Amino acid sequence: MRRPETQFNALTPDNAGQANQAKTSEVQSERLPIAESEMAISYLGVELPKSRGRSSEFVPKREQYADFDNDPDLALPLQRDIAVSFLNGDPMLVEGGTSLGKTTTVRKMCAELGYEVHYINLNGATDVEDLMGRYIPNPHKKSSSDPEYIFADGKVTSGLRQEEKKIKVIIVDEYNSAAPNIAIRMHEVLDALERGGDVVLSEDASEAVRVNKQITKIIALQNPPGKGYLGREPLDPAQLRRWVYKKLPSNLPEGTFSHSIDSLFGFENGEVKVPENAYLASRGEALSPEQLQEIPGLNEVLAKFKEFHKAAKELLKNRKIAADQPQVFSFDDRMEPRRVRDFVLRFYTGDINETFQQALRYYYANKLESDADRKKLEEIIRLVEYKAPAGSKRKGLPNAVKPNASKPERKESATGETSFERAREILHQDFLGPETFHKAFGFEVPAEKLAPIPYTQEELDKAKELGEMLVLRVSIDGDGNQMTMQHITELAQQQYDLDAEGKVLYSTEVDADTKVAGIKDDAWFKDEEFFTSQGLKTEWKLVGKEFVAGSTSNNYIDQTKILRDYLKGVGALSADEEAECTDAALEEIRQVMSDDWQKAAEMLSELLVNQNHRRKPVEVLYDQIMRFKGTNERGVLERNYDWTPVRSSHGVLVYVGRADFKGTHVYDGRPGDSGGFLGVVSVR
Amino acid sequence: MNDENQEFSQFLEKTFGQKEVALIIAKTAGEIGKITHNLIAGGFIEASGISELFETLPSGGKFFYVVGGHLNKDMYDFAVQYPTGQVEIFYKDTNSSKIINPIYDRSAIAYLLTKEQLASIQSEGKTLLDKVGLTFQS
Repeated sequence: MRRPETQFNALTPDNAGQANQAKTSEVQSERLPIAESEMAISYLGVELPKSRGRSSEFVPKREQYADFDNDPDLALPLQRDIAVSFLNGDPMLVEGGTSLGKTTTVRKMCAELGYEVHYINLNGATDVEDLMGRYIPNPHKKSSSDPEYIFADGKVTSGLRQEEKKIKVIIVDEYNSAAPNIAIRMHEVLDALERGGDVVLSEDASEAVRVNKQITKIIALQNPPGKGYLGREPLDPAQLRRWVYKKLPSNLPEGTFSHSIDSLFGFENGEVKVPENAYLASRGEALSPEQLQEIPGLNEVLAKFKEFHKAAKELLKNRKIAADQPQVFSFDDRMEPRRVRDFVLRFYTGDINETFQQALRYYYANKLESDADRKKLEEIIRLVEYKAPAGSKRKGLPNAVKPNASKPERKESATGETSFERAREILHQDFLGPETFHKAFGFEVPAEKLAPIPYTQEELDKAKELGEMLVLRVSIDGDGNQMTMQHITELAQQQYDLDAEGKVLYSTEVDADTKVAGIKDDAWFKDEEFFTSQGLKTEWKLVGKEFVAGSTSNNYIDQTKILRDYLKGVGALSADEEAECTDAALEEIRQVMSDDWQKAAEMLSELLVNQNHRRKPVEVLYDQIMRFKGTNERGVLERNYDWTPVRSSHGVLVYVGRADFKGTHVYDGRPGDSGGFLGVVSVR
Repeated sequence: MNDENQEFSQFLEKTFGQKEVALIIAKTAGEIGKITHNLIAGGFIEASGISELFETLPSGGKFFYVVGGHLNKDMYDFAVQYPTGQVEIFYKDTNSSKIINPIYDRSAIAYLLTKEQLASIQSEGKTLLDKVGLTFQS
């Protein structure tokens, strides 16, 4: 066992070699952000069909977008939201700064999907005839019987005409530079698309052009009015209601900017980390309106939605949100509910709370620019939920079509998720959520990246009885950096310094010039993979505040047995975990240990019960910081150590603790070791 | 070759392969002629307007456009769309569209105007400076 007094000379030449081994990085979702099949492409789970007629010059060339940067903070969510709009046939208006790549993003998607692009820019001398069409001298006139003039479609009309196998996207750029008569004509087109009727071409003897929003998609783009963009006037809110309005930042978010720079210079490994809750899951076939009524809990959700809509309007009216946005908008009494209904039809996945809240984020929160405003709205979005009676199951329609994209398994409780407010009521100071995270690391978790709490109220009540805390873990910081032990230490040390709370890690040292926390060169774990590379997942976890009773003064094998029995006793041991970790199996490992402790350490490390219910070193450190910042207590690890299932490069099992004012210590020990200071904290 | 000419030559070399239109800003109208001469000496071909640009650009090459009294809509639309991978221009006389897909690694496009013209264009709400890439001021 690496005793505290031996820690500084533990890095042997062998270790140094192993420390340079390829590092693994943990992604937040197993799924590809953009997944392509022969017939379709899904953008963060929203699946769009490819066009069958892609041999048109209006379809952008795919090779033009080979170096497109699918950054996880802006480009991917934008593509997802555009995909939702395309799928639902809603016209979309995207407002954002000029450097965000709005037009390029739409064209890139069209290149992938084989959709035609019909582009028009409304800045400058554009007239209605450019959009709808006009009579021109007949270029094909050969005889006196041929007409002198013929009608030629404008850009919008050519996009509206239905042609076999084609899907068309009309891009209306710099929309808020349009003359009023153009905006009015565009609204007539939008209304016709919404109705699924005809657009009457008053420019051509009232020809009626049949339109279909599944064939023609309309997306308008604009820079924010004011804010340095001359000639852009705010649109009338009554005009805006026809569009699904999405507000992007005026400038690239810092994380996107950083990602873009790294990507351009080849410092991105191509692996895009996207939080699981950024994904949607579109259904292969939309529900019918009649099927909606079969969704359990929908009545309750609708009642809360009505309250939400009123509350959101009040926030807007009283300038509590969007106060600094020059483009005034409304939450329309007719359009938003209709759109939310259509969203539920398309995206209902068996969890009405999740689907409904996603719809509200899409149609309400997406109109807001600042994170602070989104957070305010998110607080009331989370209240729109159905709380199932105890013992009942909230589930989807018995014959509902499953969504196309398969979600990775998430711990799904019998009665669904619990709101943050309710969880806080149950657990009080042991609810270590977004507020604690902000105190601990100095930045806020974006609302859209917050994972829902997967535990029922009953499970949280039981957690309180068991002396557990509920911890929100977050995988990346605001710049997209993975939350590794190394990075967590750097971030948290800044907050500790502000409050003179000592050191995060015993081996931390702060650079006198830069004030950035680093790790002492002689720290044995400085180059260990568990320290430099192993990260967190974004998730909620129930974590014991004390050791599992009786787990100290036992070797790793006996400790595992005690942990197993404890978990079984509280109903948290799965069948697979139990079947693998029998007494006989543990005895077998004990035999191995007598000859080959490294092999035994490996076998113990791989047991599901240890993988799933012991904390990794990064989790111990993170949870400890959260606990200290949330409760001002250092708890059981102030004097003791939690034994993890992670092996150091020596093959020895790492333990972390003694987290006092001087900082948390990190050591490792052989599986046969034991001590009164060494226990195990359960996590589930 | 004096320092300014050398600097300009280096600038022109860098415009080749860029994904945005480059902008050359002359202090006065009197400098336009001299800069035009240097552009031609640097292998650039003058395009009189959008039609000419559309005819020649698909196979690549180095082109410049001298902005007249004000930037016409087609040339503004071109600058806006050039970085997006596809450029579509609508011809009012025939009410038809033409499309090109830029070949960035074989092309260079530069717009030439005066400082005064640029200020005027920007004040019309055409945010040309936001759309262009490399910029040179004489």
